[in-house]
Amino acid sequence: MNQTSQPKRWLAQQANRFAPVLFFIGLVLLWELVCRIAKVPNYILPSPSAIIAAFFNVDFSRWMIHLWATLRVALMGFVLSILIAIPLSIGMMRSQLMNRILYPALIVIQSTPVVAVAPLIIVLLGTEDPSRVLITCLITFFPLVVSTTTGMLETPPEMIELSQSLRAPRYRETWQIRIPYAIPHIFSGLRVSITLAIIGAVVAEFVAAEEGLGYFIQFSTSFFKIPQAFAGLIFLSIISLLLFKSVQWIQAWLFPWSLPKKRT
Amino acid sequence: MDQAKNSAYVSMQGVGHQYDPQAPLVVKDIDLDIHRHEFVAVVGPSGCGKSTLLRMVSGLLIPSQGEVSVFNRPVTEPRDDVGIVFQKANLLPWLTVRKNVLFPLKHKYGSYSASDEKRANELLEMAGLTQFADKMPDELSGGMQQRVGIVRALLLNPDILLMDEPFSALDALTREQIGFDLLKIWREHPKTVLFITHSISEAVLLSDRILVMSKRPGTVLDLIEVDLPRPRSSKTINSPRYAELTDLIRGYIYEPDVPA
Repeated sequence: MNQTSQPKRWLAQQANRFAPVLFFIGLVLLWELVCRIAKVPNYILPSPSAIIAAFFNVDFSRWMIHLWATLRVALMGFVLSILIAIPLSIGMMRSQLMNRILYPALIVIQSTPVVAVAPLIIVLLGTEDPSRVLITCLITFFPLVVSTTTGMLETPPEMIELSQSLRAPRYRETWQIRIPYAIPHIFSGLRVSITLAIIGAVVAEFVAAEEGLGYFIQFSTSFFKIPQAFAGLIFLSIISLLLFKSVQWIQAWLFPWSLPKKRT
Repeated sequence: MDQAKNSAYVSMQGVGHQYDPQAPLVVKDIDLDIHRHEFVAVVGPSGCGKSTLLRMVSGLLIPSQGEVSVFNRPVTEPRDDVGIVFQKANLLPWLTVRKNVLFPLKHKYGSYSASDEKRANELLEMAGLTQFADKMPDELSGGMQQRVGIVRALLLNPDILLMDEPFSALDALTREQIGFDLLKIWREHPKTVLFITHSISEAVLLSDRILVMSKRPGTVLDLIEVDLPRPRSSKTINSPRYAELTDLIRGYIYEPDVPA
């Protein structure tokens, strides 16, 4: 390696490494530029600088109140759907009859647009948390059922034969072989579900709520506070991204063996 | 020769199998007596039902015709005195090597004792795996993983060791070495071995007798006595008898395909 090419190489490596960030920054700059040059009014498309200003115009405590309302519903719905989906998948894996009965029902639930059902759920369960949690749960649980079931069925058949040849009880086949084998699949389901949980909470807030980031966005829009609505939207996206990342971190922390291997 | 060695330990009489009543037979009319602590290899073309045969001895599969018996008792369910080694090592990626070896106990009874752990350590030492006992399976090479698979099958000290193409996923050099290692283990811990393989040379090198099977439906073409002296080593390959035996088997496997 000759010495003059060293800094150039380093620069190229860094550019390559930060390419996604650079692309993102470029996009924001372009947005700002278009807004300024074309003099787009704030109530049509606010510039990034206007959005940032709008974000800091709102009290931090108000942000926290809205954030907590959305996060609470999203996480409760998410946890509830884990508690339903995983036992359901185990049941469907172990019992042909249960599979035959429940699978069509699950397809029907999944095919029904939850956004359209949300107002009916509010009528049924009221305007408090339970209906919002149920809406979130309905959106999130299907990917979890699919991924958990797929994972458990993809257990190597030889491992099942090993279990049978030992005449081990079936619950141990489920707990010691099938569920661990499903962990990578379960986590890809969880990653999809956690972002859907935020969507579910926002849908519920659009229908009936007095607080929450979804409510905040809708409320800001209806008063033509477009920069503020954008600020709420971006805040929501960042939270959603962080939740998605948290699921990955939890997987790496609890089940490091389940991550795809880095090949050198 | 003593009595026990001469009497049939694993016995198949007129064994045939079809996976459902409409399907054609996978294997048929198999008669085979295996003596105690004998090493029997099964060779034959793909799909000839070699693995089906192995599963019937293990009790995972009940033959639809004939009977398999072990020590004069018909096999009707999976047996405790059988250890199985599969084509792939099939280790659980979330357990260390030692815990993988102990898995059969953990899985069958829910726990294991300190003396079980000691036995696992001894088996690992015998297989030269002591320094890898606390590693995860993906840190081991394919050959070492399969060694762990063999050690796991030995944990419950089975009398019968069933091996379903155990070395077919390994490269040629590793394969030869692990074959001799298996013979060493077998000498120290005598077992009745049923060894399924695609490799004619592997079968001749390792076994006492070779069952040559036909294409599907698999029937017995020949049962060949391998009269090569033991212990065998890489020198065995140079003996003229080795060449004769491999040629004989190759004749059975390839002849029907050669156009007249």
